[in-house]
Amino acid sequence: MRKLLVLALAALTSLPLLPQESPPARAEEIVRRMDELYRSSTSEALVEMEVVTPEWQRTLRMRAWSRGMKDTFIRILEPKKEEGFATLRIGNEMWNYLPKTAKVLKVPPSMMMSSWMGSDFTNDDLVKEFTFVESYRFEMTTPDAPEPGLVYVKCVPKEGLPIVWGSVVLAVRESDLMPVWEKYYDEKGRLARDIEFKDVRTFGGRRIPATMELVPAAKEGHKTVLRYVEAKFDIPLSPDIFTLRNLQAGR
Amino acid sequence: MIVLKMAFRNIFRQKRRSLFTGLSVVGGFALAVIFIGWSDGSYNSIIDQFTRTRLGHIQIHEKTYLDRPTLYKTFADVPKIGAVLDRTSGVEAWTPRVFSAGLAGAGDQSAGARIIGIDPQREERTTRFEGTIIQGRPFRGPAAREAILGKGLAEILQAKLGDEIVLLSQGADGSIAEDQYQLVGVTSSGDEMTDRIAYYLPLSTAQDFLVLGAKVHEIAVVVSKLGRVQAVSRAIAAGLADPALSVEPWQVFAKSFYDAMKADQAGLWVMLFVIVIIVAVGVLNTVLMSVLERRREYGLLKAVGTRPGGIVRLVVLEVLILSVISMVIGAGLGLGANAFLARHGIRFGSGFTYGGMVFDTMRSEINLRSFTIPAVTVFVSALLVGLFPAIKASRTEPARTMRMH
Repeated sequence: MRKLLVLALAALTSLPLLPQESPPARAEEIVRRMDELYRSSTSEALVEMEVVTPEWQRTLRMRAWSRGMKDTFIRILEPKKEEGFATLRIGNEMWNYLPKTAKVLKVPPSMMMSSWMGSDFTNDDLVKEFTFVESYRFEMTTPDAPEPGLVYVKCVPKEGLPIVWGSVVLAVRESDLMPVWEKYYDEKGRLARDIEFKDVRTFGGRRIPATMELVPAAKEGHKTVLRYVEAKFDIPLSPDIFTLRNLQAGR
Repeated sequence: MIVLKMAFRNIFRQKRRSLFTGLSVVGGFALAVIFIGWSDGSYNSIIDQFTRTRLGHIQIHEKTYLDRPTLYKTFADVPKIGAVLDRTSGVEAWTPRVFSAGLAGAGDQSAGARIIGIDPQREERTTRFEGTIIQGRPFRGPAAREAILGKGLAEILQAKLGDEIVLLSQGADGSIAEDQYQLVGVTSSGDEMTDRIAYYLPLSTAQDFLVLGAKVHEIAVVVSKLGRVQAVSRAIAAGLADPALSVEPWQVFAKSFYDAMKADQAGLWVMLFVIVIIVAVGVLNTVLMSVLERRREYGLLKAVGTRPGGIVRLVVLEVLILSVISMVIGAGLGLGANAFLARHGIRFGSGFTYGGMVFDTMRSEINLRSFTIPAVTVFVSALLVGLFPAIKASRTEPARTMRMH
């Protein structure tokens, strides 16, 4: 009994002496969480998207389904004029459903970097074709003015991949690795866009920042805010959702 | 007077020598005339085709539009601006337009498109739009639910006349713009790049689609004389007196095209310079030869009391008389050739592309400068070239040269 106690004590005291998680492993943990933040095997969410430009401001309400990293289906619920407009993305291919004409329009590859629904997100942002874990090299980094409580990871795309960014810097809370912001730099090292994560809430047992605010650096007065109203993760989804037939069905 | 008489006599005494000198001047002069007339003709037809059939000679925009065109940089009051244009002399026609980018689709095909809203009647009067329609017909009216596609875009979409062409874009209020219009025509502007993306809509239809109200992005103006573009442009700007608008001639809004033209024009001057050198060397050669073989003659002239200045005058006069006669003949030849080329042009088998436009026939142009420029250059070079042997002749030592033969 006494021997056991000694062993237990030894185990406890030796805990701090165990090798700490190595920095590369920590960076990988951070980017992996980032990749899987709003995704998982499946997800279904009710999202509000507020788009602010110098000329107008509007809010869209939509329901979005995702499967893995590559498949997404989004249908717009509000406003009235756009009700029923839908987007299906499977891997590299993308289609829009236009409710007024009841037609399906394929988005050509040349337009993947175009704005999605007038927002500051591009068509390409709808899927995570390139994950940080697989397509980027990453390392812990310290910016010029680090904030206490935050840790930073710098990600640089691996060679030969059609990624438009020069680098991406992620900032996460040290305590729970919850993302705080993401800054995208172009190939010349200029800030191209800034995404802020706010309002951490629990949806279906998973804690995520419910608000994502994207500010493009080049476009003054532009801002897109995504708000998760409802979200469910790792739920059984019918494979029929991610089909052209479902897209064409129109509601 | 005696010098003039002697000069003529000298020219006609040595007919063969004069003929050769004259021929080199005639040839050079005619070559220069044809060359300038031809390149002026080519440039003006390229400029005219480039501007008239597409851009217009002058464009009116919201003042920051050209720096970075967006859907939102519009202006209203088209009728008011139109009234000013109608009052401005030199303005032949004008037409309002709206632009945006979108995604066009037909069947399973889709492609990025440039939406161009045009006023069917005004566009026809300004840029002869209907002449570019190679298939189908023009729009029925300014609010018809019809589309005309560029040839390339129609091919990409595999669209046939009568098909509904879906269009997806964004309205000026941020809303999604989606609709479909019946394909009634296919146009070929001569510019393949334009034709690969052009999706024409009648003006009102386009304004409704893009939620623009009565606003437009551009008014294109065509002037009656290409050479007066800049003056007319200034007159329009003064007439509008609106700081929110920019009025620019094609030299400004099509700057890269203008620069390319200017660079090519610089090449023209180099060519012209080479031609002048050839003429000058030819003249120098023959005049020098004639002076050298007549040293004895000049020696004699001096021996009988002619002053060196007199001999210089004599030789220079000979050259000038010869040049003038040759230029008259050369001008006749050049004019004839240019008149022929202006009427018939030269056809290139498959045409060539310049600035994205396809040209298959190039024509010459008869203008004043195609005569004045070669005349001045030939005259001056003949004078300069004649002066050297003339001075040489005047320095002849009578006693020594006369003893030579």
